[in-house]
Amino acid sequence: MAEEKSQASSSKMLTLKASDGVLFEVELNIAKEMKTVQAYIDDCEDIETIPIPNVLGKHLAIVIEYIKKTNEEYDAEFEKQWNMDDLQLLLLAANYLNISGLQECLCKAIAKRIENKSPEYVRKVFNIENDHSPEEEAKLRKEYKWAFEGVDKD
Amino acid sequence: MIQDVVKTSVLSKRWKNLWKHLPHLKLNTSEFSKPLYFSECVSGIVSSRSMGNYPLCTLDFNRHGSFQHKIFTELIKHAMSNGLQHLNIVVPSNIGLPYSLFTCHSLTSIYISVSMYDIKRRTRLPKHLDLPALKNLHLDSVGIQADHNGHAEPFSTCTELTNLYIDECVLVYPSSLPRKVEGKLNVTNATLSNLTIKDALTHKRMAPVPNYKYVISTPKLISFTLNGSPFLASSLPERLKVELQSSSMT
Repeated sequence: MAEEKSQASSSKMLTLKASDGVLFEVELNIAKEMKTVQAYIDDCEDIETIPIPNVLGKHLAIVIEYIKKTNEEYDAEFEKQWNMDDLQLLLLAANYLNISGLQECLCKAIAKRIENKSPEYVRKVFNIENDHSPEEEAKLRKEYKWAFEGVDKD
Repeated sequence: MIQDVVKTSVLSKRWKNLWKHLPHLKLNTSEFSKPLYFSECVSGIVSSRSMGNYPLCTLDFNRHGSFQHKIFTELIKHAMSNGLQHLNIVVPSNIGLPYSLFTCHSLTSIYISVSMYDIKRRTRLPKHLDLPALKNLHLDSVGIQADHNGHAEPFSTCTELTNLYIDECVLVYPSSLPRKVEGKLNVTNATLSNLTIKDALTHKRMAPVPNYKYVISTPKLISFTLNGSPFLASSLPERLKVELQSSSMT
């Protein structure tokens, strides 16, 4: 029995189950890059299928691919393929799964996309409701006039 | 860009002061279309942050061209009184460095680079440094104040100093002292591990820059690089005087 286990652990496979039921078979060393999954494995040694309730199959696939391929070149091109909604959902996934490299890559990508944009644009992106009174907002815009010079047209 | 950071205050009530919690400030004139906006940015940020308790960890300040000294001093004072640990500044040579910079007990690393050559070396290190937490010091074209004998020994009080990088720095004599007097830059430090000195002597060929030697006294030194190569007492670059005393490397 012990022999069987040690043979299997060198190329041990794990199954991750996304929120929409999609299953992914991954190698243990890939799964370990997700610190949340690592903690799960540490708690229950014999587990074979790990539920990932917060992440859709579509995004889990992207995350797994990222872990397998990440390097400077890959990271630089990675974010160009996704629209803003996917980027945000991927960031939520990376945050939940606790993959620091991917979190940083995505934060940079999102920051780049909102660089020099107007507050109206940014509110739409993150679904932020403007609860400033018009006077309050005008006061802030006046106080930080220098920050609003040369903002990109939406 | 700093503009994007501060603009977030307008997003919603929750966002109004969030930007002030960022512990890293990057202020770079290249991000501004007009010098006036940069000045307004710096003084605006200092007065906004001063209204609450917002610790600052890193300050990156990059200014080319003339700049209002008062605003710069207020920025440095604000950073020092908010626990700054890492300071990186690139400034034109006619800017004096506020004394609060050299008496800060939270600073662990300082990088100062002077972007223009100035014969008076107004951007300079004072005679005494009160920087007990400092581990890394990098000086690029900064003047070093010497006393009435032409001697300077600024680093001995930095009791945590590990890395020292001196690039094209020049001793600044008091006006009463003739340039011909041979001065001494004493690099004396009990904890220093790595020393890098770059001195192409280009500025020294132009009078009236003083003539001095480096005296190194660093018992814990592990590496000493002089003008890009490991130090070799037997083959010093022409006209560069370096004396290595009580060092682990002799």
